[in-house]
Amino acid sequence: MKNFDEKAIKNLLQKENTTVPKVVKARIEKTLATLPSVERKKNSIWKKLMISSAAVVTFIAGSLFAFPTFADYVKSIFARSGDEGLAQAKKEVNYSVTDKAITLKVKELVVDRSRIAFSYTFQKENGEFITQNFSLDTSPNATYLRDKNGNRLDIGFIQKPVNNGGIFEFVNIPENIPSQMTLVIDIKGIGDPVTVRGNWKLEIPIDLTKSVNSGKQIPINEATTAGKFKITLNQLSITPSGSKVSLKIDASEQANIGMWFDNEYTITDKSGKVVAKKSSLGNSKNFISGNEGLDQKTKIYSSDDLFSTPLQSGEGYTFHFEKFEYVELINKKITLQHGQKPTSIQIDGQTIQIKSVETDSEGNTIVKIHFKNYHPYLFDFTNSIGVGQNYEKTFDEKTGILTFKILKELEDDKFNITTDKPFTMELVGIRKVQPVDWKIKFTL
Amino acid sequence: MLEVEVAAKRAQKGNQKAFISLIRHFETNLYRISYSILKNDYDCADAIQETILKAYQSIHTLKKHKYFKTWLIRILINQCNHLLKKKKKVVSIVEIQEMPSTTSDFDRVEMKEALDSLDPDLRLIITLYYLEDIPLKEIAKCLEIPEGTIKSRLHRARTMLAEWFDNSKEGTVQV
Repeated sequence: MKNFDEKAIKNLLQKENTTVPKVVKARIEKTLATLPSVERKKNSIWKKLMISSAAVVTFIAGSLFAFPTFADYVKSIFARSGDEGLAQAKKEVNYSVTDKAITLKVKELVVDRSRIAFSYTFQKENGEFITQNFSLDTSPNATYLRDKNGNRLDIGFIQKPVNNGGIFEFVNIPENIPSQMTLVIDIKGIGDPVTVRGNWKLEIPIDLTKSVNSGKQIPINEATTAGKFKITLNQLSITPSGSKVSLKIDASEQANIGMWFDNEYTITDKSGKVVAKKSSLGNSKNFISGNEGLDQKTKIYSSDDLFSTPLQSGEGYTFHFEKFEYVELINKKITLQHGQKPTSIQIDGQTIQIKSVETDSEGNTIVKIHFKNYHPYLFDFTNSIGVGQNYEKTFDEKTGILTFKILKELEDDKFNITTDKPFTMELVGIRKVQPVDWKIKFTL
Repeated sequence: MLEVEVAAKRAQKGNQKAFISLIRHFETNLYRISYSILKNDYDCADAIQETILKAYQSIHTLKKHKYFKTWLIRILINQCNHLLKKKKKVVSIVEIQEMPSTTSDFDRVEMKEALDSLDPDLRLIITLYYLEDIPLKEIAKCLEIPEGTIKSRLHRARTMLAEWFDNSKEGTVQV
């Protein structure tokens, strides 16, 4: 037998350049497209318009402030979507392709350093619109950006149906994106699941060269302290379609700093209107996406948050950082076993009592713990092989009993907590709120 | 380039886009691993779909963000095994149709055939270790098998692959 060592097998396996087959790819895309949304659902502006003519009058009157004309509402999908950045930065274009007596039209485009998006319509010969997404079933990832060497750029996207059309937006645009690209739209089906099959292909040149000058980076570099934290608002980047807020928090003086939770801040205009808000999930305003992280070595947290509000040059604004949340680590591990006797444990300066560890009729594990002083602790449960568990918890203030229901979710018991093996409860840390209440006024 | 740790953290905080980008980032890994167990693209699609939904529902149980991939693979293997169990019940009624191979050149076809010739247990370990670069300790945790057993299976798989390639060169291979 030939020498068939590690190196040889690695070399051979490296030739195995796997391509995900269409049937699998399509299913992945379909699954991702139908994930339940975690955002609050809002009635579409169009739906509100359709409620009654009286409502229409009121609505138009209220809307003129934000958008110039009602005609814009009728004509512009971006305007109808309620996204101010896209509505204001849009460039009108005219691309269309027809197949199966259905015309795909792309009439609005936004291209700048922070956002790349277009709106589209599918229209039948009789003028009727089809409000559907591009099908991900027949043509997954068939809309993409291609550089001038013909390479497809790996950038995520979101689709948003808007009455009589839809919006397609690329998200998390990298800093080093090429200036000149081609937007390729190659659609083989409409709807998800597909209602019409056909071929609609468009290639639209994208030129970011001009947008370099249309964007501005405004250094702020103002700092404050809150507790043991030093907070610096580094800069604001504005483009015609949105604004990015870059800030850093130096946490190196704070002992046992762990995971970061929500920052809460607002930007208000001169009239006091909130134009951008970063808050806990579902409570933000005009927030599109963020890139954040705590550097474990330097203990410096940094975040870049993108908002759909294009802040205006020459205008004055107020940045108000209200508070943020973080976790002070404790990392105390306790081994538990079903049916164990009540035990007392010293933890976080107090004695807690593990009252019981039992199984309910559905196979879920129920853990009851008594606390003298309960804080917003963060817990984690893992089974005997270290698989993390999903749980629900309730705290009864009268009795001081914290009850965990550790859910038996997976089919295979090796991923669950079982009655015959010990499992681990870790008190990860305490969730803490740091008030900041820091205001800066600035003019762009 | 996706920063897995950052994306996993954002996904855990409820950012759906981050979760989607993570799945897209690992979709080839998901396919390779599921194929090494199920050997049928339709079954892989089923297992991956279930894995995505389970991972989405239980992302908050992920302990260390940098181990997102291993965590996802654990769920996937569980789903694949579950599907295999179900398939055993129906395989005699429904003939499973193999999808046409997605490989396109000789080397890849040969490698695929060599991997396919292995027992499912060995094929999975080879895939996890050599293609997914998962350390032996992690594989042991994933499969709940002692590390020593993983090592010996890896050794056996290497020997069998060597034999397969030797036979293949001599034109006497039997798949």
